[in-house]
Amino acid sequence: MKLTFFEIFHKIFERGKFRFVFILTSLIFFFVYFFSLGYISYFPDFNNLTRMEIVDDWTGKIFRERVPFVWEPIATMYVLSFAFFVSIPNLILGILLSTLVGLNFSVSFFSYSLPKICRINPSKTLSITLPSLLTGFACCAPTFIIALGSATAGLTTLFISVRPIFMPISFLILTFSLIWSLNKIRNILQKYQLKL
Amino acid sequence: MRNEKLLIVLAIVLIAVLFTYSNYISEKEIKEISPIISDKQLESRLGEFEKNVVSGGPPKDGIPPIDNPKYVSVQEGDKFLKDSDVVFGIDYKGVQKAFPQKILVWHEIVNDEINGEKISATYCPLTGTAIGYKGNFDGIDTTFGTSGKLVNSNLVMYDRQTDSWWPQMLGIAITGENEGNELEKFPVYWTTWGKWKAKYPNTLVLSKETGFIRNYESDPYGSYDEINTYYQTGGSFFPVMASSDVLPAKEVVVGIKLNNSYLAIPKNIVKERGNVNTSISNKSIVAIYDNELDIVKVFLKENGSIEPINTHYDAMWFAWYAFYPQTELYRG
Repeated sequence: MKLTFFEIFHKIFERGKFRFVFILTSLIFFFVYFFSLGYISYFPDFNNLTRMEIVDDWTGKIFRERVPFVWEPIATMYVLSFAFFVSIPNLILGILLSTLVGLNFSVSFFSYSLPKICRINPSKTLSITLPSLLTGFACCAPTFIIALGSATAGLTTLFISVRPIFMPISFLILTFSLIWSLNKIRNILQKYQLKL
Repeated sequence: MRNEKLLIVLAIVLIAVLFTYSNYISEKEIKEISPIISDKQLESRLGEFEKNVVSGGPPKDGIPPIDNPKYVSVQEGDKFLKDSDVVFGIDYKGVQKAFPQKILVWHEIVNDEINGEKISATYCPLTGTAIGYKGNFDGIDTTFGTSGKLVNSNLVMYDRQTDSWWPQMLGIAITGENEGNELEKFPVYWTTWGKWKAKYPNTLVLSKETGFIRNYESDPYGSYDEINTYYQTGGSFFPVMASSDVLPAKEVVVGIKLNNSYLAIPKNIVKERGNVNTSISNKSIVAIYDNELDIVKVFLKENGSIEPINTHYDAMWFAWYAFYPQTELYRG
């Protein structure tokens, strides 16, 4: 009988170390994503415990786009010397993306507990997260381009024109990659009649 | 392994196609104009500017103007401003206000009202231009927003009455109902907080309560206090209609327009000499360095008296030349 994806996930998350990989990689990606948006800031002179500030007219701003797939933050959460800008749509996007990233990584690491033929290199997962981390935008130009300096000016128009597809492509690639990995594991296990 | 190689090849092909497509679009839209312009009437070139508008990335008002500015006193301003921080100061009808560059870099436009008159303080970080505009023309009051578009790397504003496009450096509408109309400028002084409050101790200063959340302690382009950031080195991030390497791209010039003539004077020359006497459109002018605010003021010399020319502004050389390639350049 064909193994379902659910059964494979169940086996993966039965083991504490793969749950740890999922949580760790998801969290790291979540923070890196928000950092790439400029929505995490460090203020060395601050030392708040925790407090939150919400803007006036937050209902009018919650879906206001700054650039495609980046929305206005409506609240600031201060924790120690860090400030987190809270945008609800980006929060949802971030959770979905980091869940996909975490699942991809945990499946990759899980594959290393199986026969060599099943192995899926985790570095591939790392490379496919890149497009979603290039969506940050400063006031007039992509932060990625600003960081590289005006030597990359020739890329600016190109980057702006293709940038809107980065987010949908990230979702597609991460989902496709996950399905492909699970399928590979399932097919090889069944071919060689191996058990999980 | 074969599938992975195929994916890599597909990715390379996709990037090459996108790059070629983008260059095709760039070539189609961006046409360099000859620096020798026989027809010096700016109004006749409005169509060229419109053709060279490109997307900066954000949608309309994606860079949100400040429409309900809140101001605080000097004492409150000192809590978030250093004396060396750049501010754009206005002294309009007896009211002095300072707009910190660190706030305006995230908003570009502040729509305000002084003594019942609508005004807009505007700043474009990419071209280093801070210009004040009155919000009234043809008897209509309006405010301005950011279109999300650029021409010659300069902010293209739109007016909220008619949706016409107004490049910030031109102050002339290049599209819409108001095409060809020109906004009236008023002086905005590019100075520092320390100098501004010393001269105007009762000044108000724009507060960080803008209604939006930004890290106002971080400038995405760099810093005016450093020497190797976007503001000082390198070229433009976006295509320009004309370019010149006579001066470094980011060298600050005092750009002067009088009638249909244009003159750029490197700010450092005026600063070193104290004043520069020259001419534009067959009229004598003098540019004087004001040490109190570290600014340059330009005056028309006529019939033994001097009158201020309020339409000049500081700009990065590449941007001034891109808009006005027929400009004369004072070399000393």
